Amino acid sequence: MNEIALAVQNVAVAYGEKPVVTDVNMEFPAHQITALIGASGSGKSTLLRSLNRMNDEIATVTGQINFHGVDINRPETNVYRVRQQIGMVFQQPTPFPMSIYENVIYGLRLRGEKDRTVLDQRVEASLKQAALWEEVKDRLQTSAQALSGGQQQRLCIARTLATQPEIILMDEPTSALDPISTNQIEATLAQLKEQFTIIIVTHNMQQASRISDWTAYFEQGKLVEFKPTDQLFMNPSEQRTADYLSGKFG
Amino acid sequence: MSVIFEAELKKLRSRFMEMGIDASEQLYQATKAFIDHDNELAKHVLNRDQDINDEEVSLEKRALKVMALQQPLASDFREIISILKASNDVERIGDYTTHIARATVNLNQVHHVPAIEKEISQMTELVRQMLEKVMDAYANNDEQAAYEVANQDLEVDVIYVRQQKAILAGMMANHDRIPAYETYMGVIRNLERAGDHIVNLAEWIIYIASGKLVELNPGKTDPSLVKQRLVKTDN
Repeated sequence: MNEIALAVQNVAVAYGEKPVVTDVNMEFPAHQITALIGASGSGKSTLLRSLNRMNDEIATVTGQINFHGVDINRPETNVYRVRQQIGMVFQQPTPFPMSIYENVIYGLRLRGEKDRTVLDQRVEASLKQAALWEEVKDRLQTSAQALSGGQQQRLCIARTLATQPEIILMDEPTSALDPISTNQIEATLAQLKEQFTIIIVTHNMQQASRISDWTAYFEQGKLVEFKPTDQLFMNPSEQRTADYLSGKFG
Repeated sequence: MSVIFEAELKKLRSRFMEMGIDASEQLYQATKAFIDHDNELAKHVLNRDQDINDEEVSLEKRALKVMALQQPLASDFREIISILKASNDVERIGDYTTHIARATVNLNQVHHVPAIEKEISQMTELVRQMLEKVMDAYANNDEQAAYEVANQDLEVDVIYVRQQKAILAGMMANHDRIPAYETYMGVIRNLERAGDHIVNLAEWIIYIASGKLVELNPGKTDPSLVKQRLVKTDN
Protein backbone atom coordinates (compact mmCIF):
# COMPACT_ATOMS: atom_id res chain seq x y z
CA MET A 1 0.00 0.00 0.00
CA ASN A 2 1.14 3.57 -0.65
CA GLU A 3 1.81 6.07 2.09
CA ILE A 4 -1.30 6.57 4.21
CA ALA A 5 -3.12 9.88 3.68
CA LEU A 6 -5.82 9.40 6.30
CA ALA A 7 -6.40 6.69 8.92
CA VAL A 8 -9.76 6.02 10.51
CA GLN A 9 -9.83 4.17 13.82
CA ASN A 10 -12.93 2.85 15.57
CA VAL A 11 -15.10 5.52 14.02
CA ALA A 12 -18.78 5.41 14.81
CA VAL A 13 -21.46 7.93 13.86
CA ALA A 14 -24.90 8.27 15.38
CA TYR A 15 -27.80 10.56 14.54
CA GLY A 16 -29.18 11.10 18.03
CA GLU A 17 -29.65 7.61 19.44
CA LYS A 18 -29.51 5.94 16.06
CA PRO A 19 -26.12 4.49 15.09
CA VAL A 20 -25.48 4.76 11.34
CA VAL A 21 -21.79 3.92 11.17
CA THR A 22 -20.27 1.36 13.53
CA ASP A 23 -16.64 0.75 14.38
CA VAL A 24 -14.96 1.52 11.08
CA ASN A 25 -11.22 1.03 10.77
CA MET A 26 -9.49 1.82 7.51
CA GLU A 27 -6.47 3.54 6.01
CA PHE A 28 -6.79 5.60 2.85
CA PRO A 29 -3.69 5.33 0.65
CA ALA A 30 -2.18 8.57 -0.63
CA HIS A 31 -2.38 9.49 -4.32
CA GLN A 32 -4.95 6.83 -4.97
CA ILE A 33 -8.69 6.89 -5.60
CA THR A 34 -10.64 5.03 -2.94
CA ALA A 35 -14.30 4.32 -3.67
CA LEU A 36 -16.86 3.76 -0.94
CA ILE A 37 -19.76 1.66 -2.19
CA GLY A 38 -22.87 0.17 -0.64
CA ALA A 39 -26.64 0.38 -0.71
CA SER A 40 -28.53 3.47 0.44
CA GLY A 41 -28.31 3.75 4.21
CA SER A 42 -25.11 1.74 4.40
CA GLY A 43 -23.31 4.67 6.05
CA LYS A 44 -20.81 5.43 3.29
CA SER A 45 -21.81 9.10 2.79
CA THR A 46 -22.05 9.63 6.54
CA LEU A 47 -18.52 8.31 6.97
CA LEU A 48 -17.29 10.48 4.08
CA ARG A 49 -18.78 13.63 5.63
CA SER A 50 -17.18 12.77 8.95
CA LEU A 51 -13.73 12.81 7.34
CA ASN A 52 -13.69 16.60 7.17
CA ARG A 53 -15.98 17.23 10.12
CA MET A 54 -19.08 18.06 8.11
CA ASN A 55 -21.26 16.01 10.44
CA ASP A 56 -20.45 18.12 13.49
CA GLU A 57 -23.83 19.88 13.58
CA ILE A 58 -26.01 16.87 12.91
CA ALA A 59 -24.37 13.76 14.32
CA THR A 60 -22.06 12.44 16.99
CA VAL A 61 -18.82 11.14 15.59
CA THR A 62 -16.59 9.09 17.89
CA GLY A 63 -13.23 7.45 17.27
CA GLN A 64 -10.09 8.80 15.68
CA ILE A 65 -9.48 10.30 12.26
CA ASN A 66 -5.72 10.62 11.94
CA PHE A 67 -4.29 13.09 9.47
CA HIS A 68 -0.52 13.60 9.59
CA GLY A 69 -0.43 12.03 13.03
CA VAL A 70 -3.12 14.35 14.44
CA ASP A 71 -6.59 13.20 15.41
CA ILE A 72 -8.76 15.73 13.58
CA ASN A 73 -11.88 14.41 15.28
CA ARG A 74 -10.92 16.01 18.58
CA PRO A 75 -13.17 18.91 19.65
CA GLU A 76 -10.30 21.43 19.76
CA THR A 77 -9.42 20.87 16.10
CA ASN A 78 -9.78 23.92 13.86
CA VAL A 79 -12.35 22.55 11.41
CA TYR A 80 -11.77 25.34 8.88
CA ARG A 81 -8.13 24.39 8.58
CA VAL A 82 -9.14 20.74 8.26
CA ARG A 83 -11.45 21.62 5.39
CA GLN A 84 -8.68 23.53 3.64
CA GLN A 85 -6.67 20.33 3.68
CA ILE A 86 -9.55 17.95 3.10
CA GLY A 87 -11.95 19.45 0.57
CA MET A 88 -15.39 18.24 -0.45
CA VAL A 89 -17.25 18.09 -3.76
CA PHE A 90 -20.97 17.41 -3.48
CA GLN A 91 -23.50 15.49 -5.51
CA GLN A 92 -25.23 18.54 -6.94
CA PRO A 93 -22.98 21.16 -8.53
CA THR A 94 -23.14 24.18 -6.26
CA PRO A 95 -21.78 27.22 -8.11
CA PHE A 96 -22.16 30.41 -6.11
CA PRO A 97 -24.08 33.26 -7.80
CA MET A 98 -20.92 35.04 -8.88
CA SER A 99 -18.40 34.89 -11.72
CA ILE A 100 -16.40 31.82 -12.64
CA TYR A 101 -13.27 33.59 -11.39
CA GLU A 102 -14.78 34.49 -8.02
CA ASN A 103 -16.13 30.97 -7.57
CA VAL A 104 -12.68 29.48 -7.94
CA ILE A 105 -11.00 31.85 -5.49
CA TYR A 106 -13.81 31.85 -2.95
CA GLY A 107 -11.86 29.76 -0.44
CA LEU A 108 -8.72 31.85 -0.94
CA ARG A 109 -10.61 35.07 -0.32
CA LEU A 110 -12.01 33.60 2.91
CA ARG A 111 -8.46 32.87 3.88
CA GLY A 112 -7.59 36.54 3.22
CA GLU A 113 -5.54 36.14 0.07
CA LYS A 114 -5.52 39.48 -1.81
CA ASP A 115 -2.49 39.30 -4.10
CA ARG A 116 -3.95 39.51 -7.61
CA THR A 117 -1.06 37.64 -9.17
CA VAL A 118 -1.47 34.76 -6.73
CA LEU A 119 -5.22 34.68 -7.33
CA ASP A 120 -4.84 34.77 -11.13
CA GLN A 121 -2.29 31.97 -11.05
CA ARG A 122 -4.42 29.86 -8.76
CA VAL A 123 -7.51 30.33 -10.94
CA GLU A 124 -5.65 29.22 -14.04
CA ALA A 125 -3.92 26.28 -12.32
CA SER A 126 -7.09 25.04 -10.63
CA LEU A 127 -9.21 25.31 -13.76
CA LYS A 128 -6.54 23.49 -15.74
CA GLN A 129 -6.36 20.72 -13.13
CA ALA A 130 -10.15 20.40 -13.27
CA ALA A 131 -9.95 20.24 -17.10
CA LEU A 132 -12.17 23.31 -17.48
CA TRP A 133 -9.65 26.03 -18.39
CA GLU A 134 -9.88 25.68 -22.17
CA GLU A 135 -13.67 25.97 -22.06
CA VAL A 136 -13.87 29.05 -19.83
CA LYS A 137 -10.59 30.97 -20.11
CA ASP A 138 -12.17 33.66 -22.29
CA ARG A 139 -15.14 34.25 -20.01
CA LEU A 140 -13.83 34.09 -16.48
CA GLN A 141 -15.88 37.12 -15.45
CA THR A 142 -19.20 35.71 -16.64
CA SER A 143 -21.65 34.06 -14.26
CA ALA A 144 -20.84 30.51 -13.22
CA GLN A 145 -24.51 29.69 -13.31
CA ALA A 146 -24.51 29.94 -17.11
CA LEU A 147 -22.25 26.88 -17.30
CA SER A 148 -23.61 23.41 -18.11
CA GLY A 149 -24.10 20.89 -15.28
CA GLY A 150 -20.86 19.07 -16.10
CA GLN A 151 -18.92 22.33 -16.31
CA GLN A 152 -20.42 23.51 -13.01
CA GLN A 153 -19.27 20.31 -11.33
CA ARG A 154 -15.75 20.72 -12.73
CA LEU A 155 -15.87 24.33 -11.48
CA CYS A 156 -16.71 23.01 -8.01
CA ILE A 157 -13.73 20.66 -8.29
CA ALA A 158 -11.56 23.65 -9.31
CA ARG A 159 -12.88 25.61 -6.32
CA THR A 160 -11.90 22.74 -4.03
CA LEU A 161 -8.46 22.47 -5.66
CA ALA A 162 -7.79 26.22 -5.35
CA THR A 163 -7.17 25.93 -1.63
CA GLN A 164 -4.58 23.26 -2.43
CA PRO A 165 -5.95 20.47 -0.26
CA GLU A 166 -4.24 17.11 0.13
CA ILE A 167 -7.41 15.10 0.10
CA ILE A 168 -10.57 15.55 -1.96
CA LEU A 169 -13.77 13.96 -0.74
CA MET A 170 -16.48 13.44 -3.34
CA ASP A 171 -20.05 12.52 -2.60
CA GLU A 172 -21.53 11.01 -5.75
CA PRO A 173 -20.03 13.77 -7.87
CA THR A 174 -21.45 12.54 -11.17
CA SER A 175 -24.87 11.24 -10.23
CA ALA A 176 -26.53 14.45 -11.47
CA LEU A 177 -24.58 14.45 -14.75
CA ASP A 178 -25.03 12.96 -18.20
CA PRO A 179 -22.66 10.19 -19.42
CA ILE A 180 -20.40 12.56 -21.38
CA SER A 181 -19.93 14.92 -18.44
CA THR A 182 -19.43 11.88 -16.20
CA ASN A 183 -16.71 10.65 -18.53
CA GLN A 184 -15.00 14.06 -18.38
CA ILE A 185 -15.08 14.11 -14.58
CA GLU A 186 -13.73 10.55 -14.40
CA ALA A 187 -10.90 11.50 -16.77
CA THR A 188 -10.18 14.52 -14.56
CA LEU A 189 -10.02 12.36 -11.44
CA ALA A 190 -7.55 9.99 -13.10
CA GLN A 191 -5.25 12.98 -13.63
CA LEU A 192 -5.84 14.51 -10.21
CA LYS A 193 -4.79 11.47 -8.22
CA GLU A 194 -1.19 12.16 -9.15
CA GLN A 195 -1.33 15.21 -6.90
CA PHE A 196 -4.21 14.51 -4.54
CA THR A 197 -5.75 11.68 -2.58
CA ILE A 198 -9.34 11.11 -3.64
CA ILE A 199 -12.09 9.44 -1.65
CA ILE A 200 -15.32 9.05 -3.55
CA VAL A 201 -18.76 7.78 -2.58
CA THR A 202 -20.61 6.37 -5.52
CA HIS A 203 -23.84 4.47 -6.08
CA ASN A 204 -22.51 3.45 -9.42
CA MET A 205 -20.53 0.25 -8.99
CA GLN A 206 -19.26 0.45 -12.55
CA GLN A 207 -17.85 3.86 -11.82
CA ALA A 208 -16.04 2.51 -8.76
CA SER A 209 -14.59 -0.34 -10.81
CA ARG A 210 -13.59 1.97 -13.65
CA ILE A 211 -11.79 4.67 -11.75
CA SER A 212 -10.79 3.59 -8.26
CA ASP A 213 -7.65 1.88 -7.04
CA TRP A 214 -9.19 0.74 -3.77
CA THR A 215 -12.80 -0.04 -2.94
CA ALA A 216 -14.57 -0.34 0.39
CA TYR A 217 -17.94 -2.06 0.63
CA PHE A 218 -20.31 -0.92 3.40
CA GLU A 219 -23.44 -2.62 4.64
CA GLN A 220 -25.71 -1.41 7.45
CA GLY A 221 -23.12 1.00 8.78
CA LYS A 222 -20.30 -1.53 8.83
CA LEU A 223 -17.25 -1.86 6.66
CA VAL A 224 -17.56 -5.32 5.15
CA GLU A 225 -14.52 -5.41 2.90
CA PHE A 226 -11.75 -3.04 1.80
CA LYS A 227 -9.36 -4.15 -0.91
CA PRO A 228 -7.63 -3.14 -4.12
CA THR A 229 -10.47 -2.60 -6.61
CA ASP A 230 -9.54 -5.43 -8.97
CA GLN A 231 -9.48 -7.91 -6.07
CA LEU A 232 -12.75 -6.70 -4.58
CA PHE A 233 -14.59 -6.83 -7.89
CA MET A 234 -13.06 -10.01 -9.26
CA ASN A 235 -12.56 -12.06 -6.14
CA PRO A 236 -14.26 -10.63 -3.03
CA SER A 237 -13.54 -12.46 0.22
CA GLU A 238 -16.96 -11.88 1.74
CA GLN A 239 -20.13 -13.50 0.46
CA ARG A 240 -22.04 -10.31 1.31
CA THR A 241 -19.80 -8.30 -1.02
CA ALA A 242 -20.21 -10.88 -3.79
CA ASP A 243 -24.00 -10.79 -3.36
CA TYR A 244 -24.11 -7.01 -3.52
CA LEU A 245 -21.86 -6.85 -6.59
CA SER A 246 -23.90 -9.44 -8.43
CA GLY A 247 -27.18 -7.74 -7.55
CA LYS A 248 -28.48 -10.43 -5.21
CA PHE A 249 -28.83 -7.87 -2.46
CA GLY A 250 -29.32 -4.13 -2.26
CA MET B 1 -14.15 5.97 -24.21
CA SER B 2 -12.70 6.75 -20.80
CA VAL B 3 -9.04 7.66 -20.62
CA ILE B 4 -8.36 4.85 -18.18
CA PHE B 5 -9.98 2.29 -20.44
CA GLU B 6 -8.25 3.71 -23.50
CA ALA B 7 -4.87 3.36 -21.79
CA GLU B 8 -5.65 -0.21 -20.70
CA LEU B 9 -6.77 -1.22 -24.18
CA LYS B 10 -3.65 0.30 -25.69
CA LYS B 11 -1.47 -1.70 -23.29
CA LEU B 12 -3.42 -4.86 -24.04
CA ARG B 13 -2.98 -4.35 -27.78
CA SER B 14 0.73 -3.72 -27.51
CA ARG B 15 1.25 -6.76 -25.24
CA PHE B 16 -0.64 -8.94 -27.71
CA MET B 17 1.44 -7.60 -30.59
CA GLU B 18 4.62 -8.26 -28.60
CA MET B 19 3.48 -11.81 -27.96
CA GLY B 20 2.79 -12.32 -31.68
CA ILE B 21 6.18 -10.86 -32.61
CA ASP B 22 7.88 -13.14 -30.07
CA ALA B 23 6.08 -16.20 -31.45
CA SER B 24 7.03 -15.18 -34.97
CA GLU B 25 10.65 -14.76 -33.90
CA GLN B 26 10.57 -18.17 -32.18
CA LEU B 27 9.10 -19.79 -35.27
CA TYR B 28 11.79 -18.16 -37.40
CA GLN B 29 14.57 -19.35 -35.12
CA ALA B 30 13.16 -22.87 -34.65
CA THR B 31 12.72 -23.43 -38.36
CA LYS B 32 16.11 -21.86 -39.16
CA ALA B 33 17.71 -24.13 -36.56
CA PHE B 34 15.95 -27.10 -38.13
CA ILE B 35 16.99 -26.28 -41.69
CA ASP B 36 20.58 -25.31 -40.78
CA HIS B 37 20.97 -28.20 -38.28
CA ASP B 38 21.90 -25.59 -35.71
CA ASN B 39 21.73 -27.20 -32.27
CA GLU B 40 22.70 -24.06 -30.39
CA LEU B 41 19.89 -22.02 -31.91
CA ALA B 42 17.45 -24.86 -31.23
CA LYS B 43 18.47 -24.89 -27.57
CA HIS B 44 18.00 -21.12 -27.43
CA VAL B 45 14.41 -21.60 -28.67
CA LEU B 46 13.80 -24.29 -26.06
CA ASN B 47 15.03 -21.96 -23.34
CA ARG B 48 12.62 -19.24 -24.42
CA ASP B 49 9.46 -21.35 -24.52
CA GLN B 50 8.47 -20.31 -21.03
CA ASP B 51 8.57 -16.63 -22.08
CA ILE B 52 5.55 -16.98 -24.37
CA ASN B 53 3.68 -19.03 -21.78
CA ASP B 54 4.31 -16.27 -19.22
CA GLU B 55 3.25 -13.61 -21.69
CA GLU B 56 -0.03 -15.44 -22.25
CA VAL B 57 -0.81 -15.70 -18.53
CA SER B 58 -0.02 -12.03 -18.00
CA LEU B 59 -2.10 -10.99 -21.03
CA GLU B 60 -5.04 -13.08 -19.83
CA LYS B 61 -4.91 -11.53 -16.37
CA ARG B 62 -4.84 -8.06 -17.90
CA ALA B 63 -7.72 -8.82 -20.29
CA LEU B 64 -9.87 -10.33 -17.53
CA LYS B 65 -9.24 -7.27 -15.35
CA VAL B 66 -10.29 -4.92 -18.14
CA MET B 67 -13.43 -7.00 -18.76
CA ALA B 68 -14.38 -7.03 -15.07
CA LEU B 69 -13.55 -3.43 -14.20
CA GLN B 70 -14.16 -1.44 -17.37
CA GLN B 71 -17.18 -3.25 -18.84
CA PRO B 72 -16.19 -2.80 -22.50
CA LEU B 73 -18.94 -2.87 -25.11
CA ALA B 74 -19.32 -3.18 -28.90
CA SER B 75 -16.03 -3.26 -30.82
CA ASP B 76 -14.01 -2.82 -27.59
CA PHE B 77 -15.74 -5.89 -26.16
CA ARG B 78 -15.06 -7.88 -29.33
CA GLU B 79 -11.42 -6.88 -29.36
CA ILE B 80 -10.77 -7.87 -25.74
CA ILE B 81 -12.57 -11.21 -26.07
CA SER B 82 -10.61 -11.82 -29.27
CA ILE B 83 -7.27 -10.99 -27.65
CA LEU B 84 -8.16 -13.33 -24.80
CA LYS B 85 -8.91 -16.19 -27.19
CA ALA B 86 -6.22 -15.40 -29.74
CA SER B 87 -3.47 -15.25 -27.12
CA ASN B 88 -4.13 -18.96 -26.59
CA ASP B 89 -3.56 -19.60 -30.31
CA VAL B 90 -0.29 -17.66 -30.19
CA GLU B 91 0.81 -19.65 -27.16
CA ARG B 92 0.07 -22.91 -29.01
CA ILE B 93 2.15 -21.70 -31.96
CA GLY B 94 4.94 -21.12 -29.42
CA ASP B 95 4.52 -24.74 -28.27
CA TYR B 96 4.91 -26.00 -31.84
CA THR B 97 8.12 -24.01 -32.28
CA THR B 98 9.42 -25.76 -29.17
CA HIS B 99 8.57 -29.15 -30.66
CA ILE B 100 10.42 -28.21 -33.85
CA ALA B 101 13.45 -27.09 -31.84
CA ARG B 102 13.40 -30.38 -29.94
CA ALA B 103 13.14 -32.27 -33.23
CA THR B 104 16.21 -30.37 -34.47
CA VAL B 105 18.24 -31.60 -31.52
CA ASN B 106 16.98 -35.19 -32.01
CA LEU B 107 17.58 -35.13 -35.75
CA ASN B 108 21.19 -34.18 -35.37
CA GLN B 109 21.82 -37.60 -33.84
CA VAL B 110 20.51 -39.52 -36.88
CA HIS B 111 20.95 -39.62 -40.68
CA HIS B 112 19.39 -36.72 -42.64
CA VAL B 113 17.32 -36.88 -45.79
CA PRO B 114 18.16 -33.64 -47.65
CA ALA B 115 15.37 -33.98 -50.25
CA ILE B 116 12.68 -34.01 -47.56
CA GLU B 117 14.33 -31.18 -45.66
CA LYS B 118 14.22 -28.99 -48.76
CA GLU B 119 10.46 -29.50 -49.04
CA ILE B 120 10.00 -28.82 -45.33
CA SER B 121 11.90 -25.55 -45.62
CA GLN B 122 9.32 -24.32 -48.16
CA MET B 123 6.54 -25.21 -45.74
CA THR B 124 8.23 -23.38 -42.88
CA GLU B 125 8.70 -20.29 -45.03
CA LEU B 126 5.01 -20.26 -45.87
CA VAL B 127 3.88 -20.66 -42.25
CA ARG B 128 6.26 -17.94 -41.12
CA GLN B 129 4.94 -15.53 -43.74
CA MET B 130 1.36 -16.33 -42.71
CA LEU B 131 2.10 -15.55 -39.04
CA GLU B 132 3.73 -12.24 -39.89
CA LYS B 133 0.90 -11.33 -42.22
CA VAL B 134 -1.82 -12.19 -39.69
CA MET B 135 -0.18 -10.01 -37.01
CA ASP B 136 0.02 -7.17 -39.53
CA ALA B 137 -3.66 -7.72 -40.30
CA TYR B 138 -4.42 -7.36 -36.58
CA ALA B 139 -2.31 -4.20 -36.26
CA ASN B 140 -4.05 -2.64 -39.28
CA ASN B 141 -7.51 -4.03 -38.48
CA ASP B 142 -7.41 -5.44 -42.02
CA GLU B 143 -10.24 -7.92 -42.51
CA GLN B 144 -9.32 -8.58 -46.15
CA ALA B 145 -5.73 -9.52 -45.27
CA ALA B 146 -7.06 -11.88 -42.59
CA TYR B 147 -9.18 -13.70 -45.23
CA GLU B 148 -6.11 -13.94 -47.49
CA VAL B 149 -3.98 -15.50 -44.74
CA ALA B 150 -6.69 -18.05 -43.96
CA ASN B 151 -6.80 -19.08 -47.63
CA GLN B 152 -3.04 -19.64 -47.66
CA ASP B 153 -3.53 -22.41 -45.12
CA LEU B 154 -4.92 -24.61 -47.90
CA GLU B 155 -1.47 -24.51 -49.45
CA VAL B 156 0.07 -25.58 -46.13
CA ASP B 157 -2.38 -28.50 -45.96
CA VAL B 158 -1.50 -29.55 -49.49
CA ILE B 159 2.23 -29.54 -48.71
CA TYR B 160 1.49 -31.44 -45.53
CA VAL B 161 -0.40 -34.26 -47.27
CA ARG B 162 2.20 -34.45 -50.05
CA GLN B 163 5.05 -34.60 -47.54
CA GLN B 164 3.24 -37.16 -45.44
CA LYS B 165 3.06 -39.46 -48.47
CA ALA B 166 6.71 -38.86 -49.36
CA ILE B 167 7.82 -39.54 -45.79
CA LEU B 168 5.83 -42.78 -45.59
CA ALA B 169 7.29 -43.89 -48.91
CA GLY B 170 10.78 -43.01 -47.63
CA MET B 171 10.22 -45.07 -44.50
CA MET B 172 9.19 -48.10 -46.55
CA ALA B 173 12.22 -47.80 -48.81
CA ASN B 174 14.91 -46.85 -46.27
CA HIS B 175 14.45 -48.66 -43.00
CA ASP B 176 17.76 -47.36 -41.65
CA ARG B 177 16.46 -43.78 -41.89
CA ILE B 178 13.17 -44.37 -40.07
CA PRO B 179 14.17 -42.27 -37.02
CA ALA B 180 14.83 -39.27 -39.30
CA TYR B 181 11.55 -39.75 -41.17
CA GLU B 182 9.68 -39.96 -37.87
CA THR B 183 11.15 -36.64 -36.86
CA TYR B 184 10.21 -35.09 -40.20
CA MET B 185 6.68 -36.36 -39.75
CA GLY B 186 6.49 -34.63 -36.39
CA VAL B 187 7.85 -31.37 -37.79
CA ILE B 188 5.39 -31.17 -40.69
CA ARG B 189 2.58 -32.01 -38.29
CA ASN B 190 3.67 -29.14 -36.04
CA LEU B 191 3.84 -26.74 -38.97
CA GLU B 192 0.42 -27.83 -40.19
CA ARG B 193 -1.07 -27.26 -36.72
CA ALA B 194 0.66 -23.87 -36.46
CA GLY B 195 -1.05 -23.01 -39.76
CA ASP B 196 -4.44 -23.95 -38.25
CA HIS B 197 -3.83 -21.66 -35.28
CA ILE B 198 -2.89 -18.83 -37.65
CA VAL B 199 -6.28 -19.38 -39.32
CA ASN B 200 -7.88 -19.07 -35.87
CA LEU B 201 -6.06 -15.75 -35.43
CA ALA B 202 -7.44 -14.60 -38.78
CA GLU B 203 -10.95 -15.54 -37.62
CA TRP B 204 -10.57 -13.42 -34.48
CA ILE B 205 -9.35 -10.46 -36.54
CA ILE B 206 -12.46 -10.74 -38.69
CA TYR B 207 -14.61 -10.89 -35.55
CA ILE B 208 -13.00 -7.69 -34.24
CA ALA B 209 -13.51 -5.90 -37.54
CA SER B 210 -17.01 -7.05 -38.41
CA GLY B 211 -18.56 -8.86 -35.46
CA LYS B 212 -18.92 -11.99 -37.63
CA LEU B 213 -17.84 -15.33 -36.14
CA VAL B 214 -16.54 -17.29 -39.12
CA GLU B 215 -14.98 -20.73 -39.67
CA LEU B 216 -12.31 -20.24 -42.27
CA ASN B 217 -10.04 -23.29 -42.23
CA PRO B 218 -10.60 -24.30 -45.86
CA GLY B 219 -8.82 -27.65 -45.69
CA LYS B 220 -10.79 -28.67 -42.59
CA THR B 221 -14.22 -27.49 -43.69
CA ASP B 222 -13.91 -29.11 -47.12
CA PRO B 223 -11.19 -31.84 -47.32
CA SER B 224 -11.93 -32.30 -51.04
CA LEU B 225 -10.21 -28.94 -51.64
CA VAL B 226 -6.89 -30.43 -50.50
CA LYS B 227 -7.40 -33.47 -52.76
CA GLN B 228 -8.23 -31.30 -55.78
CA ARG B 229 -5.10 -29.21 -55.22
CA LEU B 230 -2.99 -32.31 -54.82
CA VAL B 231 -4.26 -33.74 -58.10
CA LYS B 232 -3.52 -30.39 -59.77
CA THR B 233 0.03 -30.12 -58.40
CA ASP B 234 0.82 -33.81 -59.01
CA ASN B 235 -0.17 -33.41 -62.64
